[in-house]
Amino acid sequence: MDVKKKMDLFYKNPVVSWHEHVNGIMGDRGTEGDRLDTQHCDEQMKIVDMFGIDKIVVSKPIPADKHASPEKCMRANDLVYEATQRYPGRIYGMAFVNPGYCDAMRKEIDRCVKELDFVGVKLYHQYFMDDPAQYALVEKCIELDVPILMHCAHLMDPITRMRQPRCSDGVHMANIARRYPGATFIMGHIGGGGDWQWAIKAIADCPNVYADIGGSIHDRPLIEESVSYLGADRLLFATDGMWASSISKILDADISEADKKTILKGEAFMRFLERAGK
Amino acid sequence: MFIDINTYVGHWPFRNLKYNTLEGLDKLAREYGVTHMVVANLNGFFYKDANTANLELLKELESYNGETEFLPLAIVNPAYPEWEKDARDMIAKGFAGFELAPLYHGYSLAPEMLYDEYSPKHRALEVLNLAEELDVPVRICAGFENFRGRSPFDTYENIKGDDYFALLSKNKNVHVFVTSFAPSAVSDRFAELLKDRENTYLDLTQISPIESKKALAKTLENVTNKKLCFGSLSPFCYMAAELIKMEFVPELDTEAMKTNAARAFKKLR
Repeated sequence: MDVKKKMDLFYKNPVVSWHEHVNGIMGDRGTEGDRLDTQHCDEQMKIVDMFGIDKIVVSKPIPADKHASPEKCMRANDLVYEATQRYPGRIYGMAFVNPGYCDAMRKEIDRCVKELDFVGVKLYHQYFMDDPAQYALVEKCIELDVPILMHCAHLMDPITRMRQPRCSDGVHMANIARRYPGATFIMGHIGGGGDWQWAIKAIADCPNVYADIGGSIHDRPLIEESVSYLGADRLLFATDGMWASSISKILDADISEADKKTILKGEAFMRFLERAGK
Repeated sequence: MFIDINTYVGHWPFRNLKYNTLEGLDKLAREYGVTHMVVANLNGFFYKDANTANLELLKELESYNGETEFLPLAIVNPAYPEWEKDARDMIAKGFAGFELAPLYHGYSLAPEMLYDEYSPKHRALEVLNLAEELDVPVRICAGFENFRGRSPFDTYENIKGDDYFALLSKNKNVHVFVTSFAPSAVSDRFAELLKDRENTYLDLTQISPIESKKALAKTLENVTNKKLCFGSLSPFCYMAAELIKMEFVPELDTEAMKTNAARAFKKLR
């Protein structure tokens, strides 16, 4: 069968990608991230349209700065807001915060969710997900009923481990999920690099941890094993900017058509988008 | 004709593979209309005597009756005794070319000073020279699983541009498939060699042409559409990823990617 014909699965069904990003460019302040990179944003939406993706959830994490100040986080979130306003109803925002600045983090999540209509919180590797520094953040997200998407990978190679020494994996996600069963977590990009088999086994018994399938790794049978351990209703479609590999995982996986549609739609997470639209 | 230059049967010691038989690959091929698959037996990467894996593949081929036509490659370990006799024997038995596995067989693509020799020996080049004599292609895969998720018992290394340069610059006549090579690993001199060397073929498994127009432009500058081939790295990866790249990136010549590899095989020319 022609792969374009197979793409009907995307063209004819609701598709939400829960893990995408926007870029910043140099602006008046003379630092990267002053303004939304509208060219990248528009090009991304052309790709989104080409592949039949209806909505994307974006964030602007600050990966290289382990101290990511509250001011930087606010600026990043303002860029995300600009993207949501550029494509209303198509782009939704997630707030990036640094849990190390506890008071500022609480205020910023409040601002993003209550004023900017963001649908969740995105974290990077400033802290492990089960670090006590995250507790106040998790409690804030429970209060506002928004999910927490954490950049995750069980990294095996020494160089990437050295670069991301506090990169969370499935075990960190499981630890925090058991401490806070009322919170909703997304383990970021099971195809983002790292041992994905480790990742999905670790969270299998934690029903409040979901996983997005994004990332460049499209090892067969990543999706089949994920569905087997978690069920399709705990998987969310995402690409993290790696379109071909992420779409291929859905097209080629030996799972039922119904399970594919469940992952693409992200049924369990629709309420977050619907609430933001009101 | 639609050729996939990057497929394997056999076992990978670090995780289970599905569709890792000729029948399994045939099923994947038929799903998307692939007519030919260039295949080798992964077991030969790990057996001390790689040729026993070639004999396994030969046996599997004898009982195979699917639709897809396989172009089997014999895994050759030039660091092992009698490798040349085995290699010639496999071609005589119908194998279509050779595969080198330097990362798993413990030799270099460059000349090496061995403990029992008085001058450097270029073992990989000896295989290339034999391939030239027999008019068969050679495949050298840069790496299999992504290095961030590999088992501690696997290598974290991939074959780099300079490694390929050390070999391919010494014999420019043999058809060589450089599979799963990441553009980030290219060196200036390997880029120049790729431009110059007519019969070097690359696939796109480690290139993201939708996301990175820069990587695509660089690759096309080095190898052009005449030397890009369809390769899926099956059964390690979902095949659709490579088809999506080929079908949705207008800079790529889809028809050429399906057939370019035919030039390397006597029976397809």
